[in-house]
Amino acid sequence: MRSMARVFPVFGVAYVLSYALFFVAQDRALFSHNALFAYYPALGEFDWDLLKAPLAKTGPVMLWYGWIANSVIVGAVAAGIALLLPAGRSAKLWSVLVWAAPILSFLVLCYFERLWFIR
Amino acid sequence: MFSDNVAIFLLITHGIVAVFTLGALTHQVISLTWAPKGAGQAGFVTSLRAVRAAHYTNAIIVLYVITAILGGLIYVNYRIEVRQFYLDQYKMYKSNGLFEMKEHLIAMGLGLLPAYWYYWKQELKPEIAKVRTVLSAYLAFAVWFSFLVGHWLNNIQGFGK
Repeated sequence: MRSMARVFPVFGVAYVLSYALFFVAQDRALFSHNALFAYYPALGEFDWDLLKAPLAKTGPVMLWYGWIANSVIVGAVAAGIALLLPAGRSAKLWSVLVWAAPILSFLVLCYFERLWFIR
Repeated sequence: MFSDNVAIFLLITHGIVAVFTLGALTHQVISLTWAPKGAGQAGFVTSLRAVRAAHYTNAIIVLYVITAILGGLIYVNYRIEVRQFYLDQYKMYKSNGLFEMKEHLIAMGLGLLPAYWYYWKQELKPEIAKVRTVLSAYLAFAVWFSFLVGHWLNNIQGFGK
């Protein structure tokens, strides 16, 4: 566990940055659907892709769970790669990135969410 | 979706666990940023400032995860009962925006918990102290913000109305 724990900061940085990126990509319509899965609360249904039926029939779609799943996968892959590299050299870099990344991601998300407040 | 009674029970439990979480995080952040210097008189405020911050770590992680899971469960009811049938109908965009920020802060906090644990379990060095302070402050901000926004939204339109 101790040897694995050294890559926890890598997981955190990759998770936080990818979470913001997935949200921005969705917001900018860069992909039609980028969450790992979608949830339709009115239907009580998980789907890999967005349903083709109109929203009036399906009710709203929730992508939040799918974005978290995406970020867990990205974080796990990044941590897995870091685990293969020798320990120690990059520890200082990750100790800076691990607090800078959430601040940066939060500022990016604030920028893209500003539309709610200026309508 | 949960029935109204189950959703209200989960919401109240979510709120109570959130209070424990923000209490623990607030103690930890105060002791990090406002630690007492020297042996002063042990009053209420000095005691608050002098708590052993590291001892809160595991409890904070467990409480944070439980709070987030409960919030994630009742989010389904919120999306339909509160957002679709009330906030969207009355064009309450600012309230929607505040909830969006709440979900982002909590989701990112979840991903930071392993790193938070890692730095708090390490021997304290000067470069580690800053990381601990920022991560604890981030989590405290996320939980306080989410707690207040949750209350705000519940006051606008709660479950089962």
